[in-house]
Amino acid sequence: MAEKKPTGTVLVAGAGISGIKAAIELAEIGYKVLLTDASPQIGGILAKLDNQFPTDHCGMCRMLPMVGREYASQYCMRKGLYHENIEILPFTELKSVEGDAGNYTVELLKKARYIDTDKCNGLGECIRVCPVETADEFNHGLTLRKAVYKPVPHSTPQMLLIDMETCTRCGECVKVCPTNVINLSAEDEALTRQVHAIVLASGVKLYNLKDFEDAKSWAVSPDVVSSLAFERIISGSGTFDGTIRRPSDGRPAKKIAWVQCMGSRNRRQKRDYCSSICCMFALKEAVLAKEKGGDEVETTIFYMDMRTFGKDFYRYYERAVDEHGVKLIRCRVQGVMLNPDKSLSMRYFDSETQEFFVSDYHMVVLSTGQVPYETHQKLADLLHVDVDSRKLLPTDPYDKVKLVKPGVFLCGSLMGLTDISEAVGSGIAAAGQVSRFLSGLDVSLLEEEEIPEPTAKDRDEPLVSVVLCKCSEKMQESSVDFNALGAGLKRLNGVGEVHILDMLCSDEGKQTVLDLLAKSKCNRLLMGACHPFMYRKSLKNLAKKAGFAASLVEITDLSSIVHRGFFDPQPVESGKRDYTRLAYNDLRGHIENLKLKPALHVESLSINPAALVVGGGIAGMHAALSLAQRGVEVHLVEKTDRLGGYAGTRIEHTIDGLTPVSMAKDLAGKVLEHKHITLHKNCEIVATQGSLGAFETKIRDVSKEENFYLTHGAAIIATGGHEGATDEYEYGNSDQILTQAELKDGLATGEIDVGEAETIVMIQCVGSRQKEGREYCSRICCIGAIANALAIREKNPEARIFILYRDVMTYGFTEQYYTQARLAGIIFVSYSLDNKPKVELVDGSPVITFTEPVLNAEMQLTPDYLILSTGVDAEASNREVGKAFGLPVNEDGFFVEADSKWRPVEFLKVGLYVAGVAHSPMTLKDAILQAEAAAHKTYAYLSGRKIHTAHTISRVHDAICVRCQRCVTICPYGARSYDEALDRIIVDGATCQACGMCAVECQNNAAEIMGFSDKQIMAVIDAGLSKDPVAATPD
Amino acid sequence: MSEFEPKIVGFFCNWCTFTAADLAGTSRLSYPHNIKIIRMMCSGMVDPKYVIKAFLNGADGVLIGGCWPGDCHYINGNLKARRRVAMLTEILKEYGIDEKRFWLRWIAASEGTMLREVVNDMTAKLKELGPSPLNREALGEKSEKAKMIG
Ligand code: FES
Repeated sequence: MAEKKPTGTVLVAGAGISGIKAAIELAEIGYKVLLTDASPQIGGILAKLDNQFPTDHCGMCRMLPMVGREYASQYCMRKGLYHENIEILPFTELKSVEGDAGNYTVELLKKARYIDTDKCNGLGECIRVCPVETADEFNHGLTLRKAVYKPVPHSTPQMLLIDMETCTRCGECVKVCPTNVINLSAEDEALTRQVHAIVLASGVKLYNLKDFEDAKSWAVSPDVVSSLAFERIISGSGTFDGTIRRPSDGRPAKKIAWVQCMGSRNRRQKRDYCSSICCMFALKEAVLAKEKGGDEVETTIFYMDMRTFGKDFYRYYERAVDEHGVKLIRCRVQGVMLNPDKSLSMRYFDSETQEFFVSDYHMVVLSTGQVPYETHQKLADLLHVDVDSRKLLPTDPYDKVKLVKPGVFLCGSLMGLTDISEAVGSGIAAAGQVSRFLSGLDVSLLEEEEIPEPTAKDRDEPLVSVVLCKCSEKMQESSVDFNALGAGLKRLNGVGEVHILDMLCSDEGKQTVLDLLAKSKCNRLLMGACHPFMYRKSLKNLAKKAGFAASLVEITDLSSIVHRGFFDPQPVESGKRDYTRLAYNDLRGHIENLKLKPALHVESLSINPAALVVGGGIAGMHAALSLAQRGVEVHLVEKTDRLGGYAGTRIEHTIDGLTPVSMAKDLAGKVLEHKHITLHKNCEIVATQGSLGAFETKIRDVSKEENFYLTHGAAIIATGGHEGATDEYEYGNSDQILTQAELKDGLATGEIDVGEAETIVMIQCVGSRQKEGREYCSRICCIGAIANALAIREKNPEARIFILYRDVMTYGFTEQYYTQARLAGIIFVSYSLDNKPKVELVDGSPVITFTEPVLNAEMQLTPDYLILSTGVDAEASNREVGKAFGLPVNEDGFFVEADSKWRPVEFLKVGLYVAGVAHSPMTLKDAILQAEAAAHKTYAYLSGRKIHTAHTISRVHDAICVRCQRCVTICPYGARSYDEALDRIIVDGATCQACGMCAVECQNNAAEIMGFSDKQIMAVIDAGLSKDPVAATPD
Repeated sequence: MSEFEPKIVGFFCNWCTFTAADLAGTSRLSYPHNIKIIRMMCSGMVDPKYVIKAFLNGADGVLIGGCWPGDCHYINGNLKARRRVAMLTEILKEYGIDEKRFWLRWIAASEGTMLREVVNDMTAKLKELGPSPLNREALGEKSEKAKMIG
């Protein structure tokens, strides 16, 4: 064998959701990942958000891997995360980066926590005795914490640490710590690691009022809070247990106002950008306030433009206003005044009534956005690169996640604040770029785990070994009588041995267990230990070492029963509760369950390593190349006779200096040349069958009028879209009325001459963002209109250019073009949906009438050209493609992804992905980002690594199955199908997530989840309600 | 006679309520210990027969805890659970099990406080209702109905 190649190792710096996502994606395909975060915990901002749009709850766990799901933790992600291939280093700072592409030496500084979190049992005796109290950052200082504290109260295992700034070194905590894991003289630890690639995911700082001059006019009361602090106020685990109260005196807050754009969109303060997510954030919070506080809560949002540009955002906005009664007022408020009764007054101008008002509120929430420059500068210095003209990290012009420095990528809010779906998408895309980069280096993957063969021992009569940890004698008197418990359990049928140990978590403890188990004849293992162990792999590994099959080891949290004396409001001495009995019943349930559990094994699946990409636009070509570069065979199917799609054939220039047409030509050249890509032009999708790893698609070659079949393991849908159509505003009746695209073409070819024009009017949102129209924002029209307006301005400095808009959607750093346009004298006039402009033709020329909101006067113009922004329509063929693949298409004609936030490029059906405008209208860069993400998700299955089924999946007992196919219908993942030829129900093992719907639905018990059988659960119920005395022998 | 302590069986979804129970444990929010928690991967995994079994074994109440609508880890298992619970409630009534004994609640992982309230609340209600007609132990084996079914 040749010399062993180094294992491909990636540093992901920043463990917010985008970093976590990138790390998981890389881990899934077999790279080693170092995931660091400067803060003491992982989860980033999301740790603070209990409620997220659109469901107004969390769903973070859906970010967990689908490929090899059992290698990662299988529980709520707000508690934490583990994955076999990810080393997580919280409280660790990136200090330096040296070296070249593919070979970086990074220096990290692991800050001292003063608590060994690997051994801490998280019960928090230390917190109880700590005499220091200080403001808790997690709840934005609204609550107090001790010097020793949990940075995120709900994480498990508890990642405690000591804040040395406030610690008085009294040593009380050291004395009471049952596990002896506190070391007050611990020191920071410097680490040096070699990595092949780096993903920066540290996010950016958020605007903090106190740092800026705004403080004077805003920070007048503790009842003026930031939007994140408000999130903590309404959180169930936050300040007031989920009721809305004002911080100053805890009185209920019934009138709440949000003020948008705090610190953003402010040229004077040199922050000429939009923070993108605050509008949705405020809407969501206002809706939540209504939901939690009841109807009498009044919510008002003061805004400049309601930037609800994302997929389905507009519908949420409609619901917030129409159904929940959130009030919106377009006005930039200048400050807040504190009244003697502690209420807060704000003065604003209501453009509808043309009057100034002063309103009182109980609480004012400031929508504080990003302050990116400092973070970017710091990272640029670390990486020895210069920031670009925008003062941001220099990225590839087309690939937002790719830094100009090779082997370094970024994702998440470093790209500008992102919502969850963008953060997740960018994490996947960054992982995709890393994987492409590493595929060109001489590195190996982590070795695939060998699949243990079923052993004879597994099939023997079940015999359970029970290992219980007393979790330290030092703990206050245990509420459980271990001797009685052990004796009781020992007498149970099927229990081979019971060991009662102390400090299982210590190294000696572990060795003792290993020694004991080496001699054991048992084939099943039940461990009763404390919390941290349930969620870390160490004990599982221990069991593996001792030769137990993974599925036959069960770990249960005993400590919370053992130490319930602490938790109980009526302590043990009241004699009311018998903890020994509780523990006994609990353990007995586990024992009965284990006894009935079969040894589960995994199978590896056969995967056809070819991919199908539908659509030869920029997204489709990008995805195809991303896969082909990594050696995947790709079939690219395009329904027309040319590559490029809409953007790649129609848009020569964009405002940010991109040239889509020439870029598409470039991509097309590479596609045609690539040995792994087969192009099928003039072809349409007819039908598809099969599942992950084995799809077969029937394709019609329209030019040759013949059909053929392609087999593939996965597919990406990138069917794109095009400019919308309209017949509003007299379009089609005058050659002076054009769409934005027609204007752009005309300007480029010179067919339209604006040199002599006096007046040009543009109308935004034509047929968009309204019921019975495109009920969504097309995202690109505002910026497109501004680009055209500026192009006209260049040719004709005298012309009057009006843009009639509803909300200017120049989110993120495109805000600067809006500013530029206003400085160039382009006149922006807002109109509302119930007072649209009116267009008439007089002698064939358009005359437009609209209301000028500031003067509240009607205006009439006779423009030389009237330009309509008609939005983006989905491709009509989406419905057929959707039908062929069995994929859902929404009422607007766009494809519906598996989960709008957490799985933005996946379909529910595993093995099928979506990219670009097929998903929703988006910018070119976003389409490329999605294409990269979709390609990476595809690659995870097609990389050639073995794809195993999980241990716990559903199966069918053919003998009792009546083939009613109810399980096929109910399966949310489409993992079950009826095979006519075999006359059997087939379960696709990779797709099945073991949710158990089929098992419940099946009337015959023919569908079953391995490891969750009826028998097992019934036995657990029996044990749980058993009344046998602990010491007596049950029959 | 000592005060009646109702027994509750809780079928909790692994992704939300089970976590919330954990949270309630570690953040020292105490809730009555007369609830026996059984971990399910999803509320949609709770087969009606488990609920019936729990009642037959003498549980005074059954609580199913699932993720909020839209948040189910498995897309919509919770909605399927909701439909099933509605049907099962009717069936249980036929057998004399009051609908107040059978609860389905959405409790997210971060809602430890809410879980505590729900469990305390349920315990209080069950205390008012008294033992389940199938709880032979508490009824001193006298219930005719229990004999008939059991
Ligand atoms: S996963 Fe919690 S209810 Fe389905």
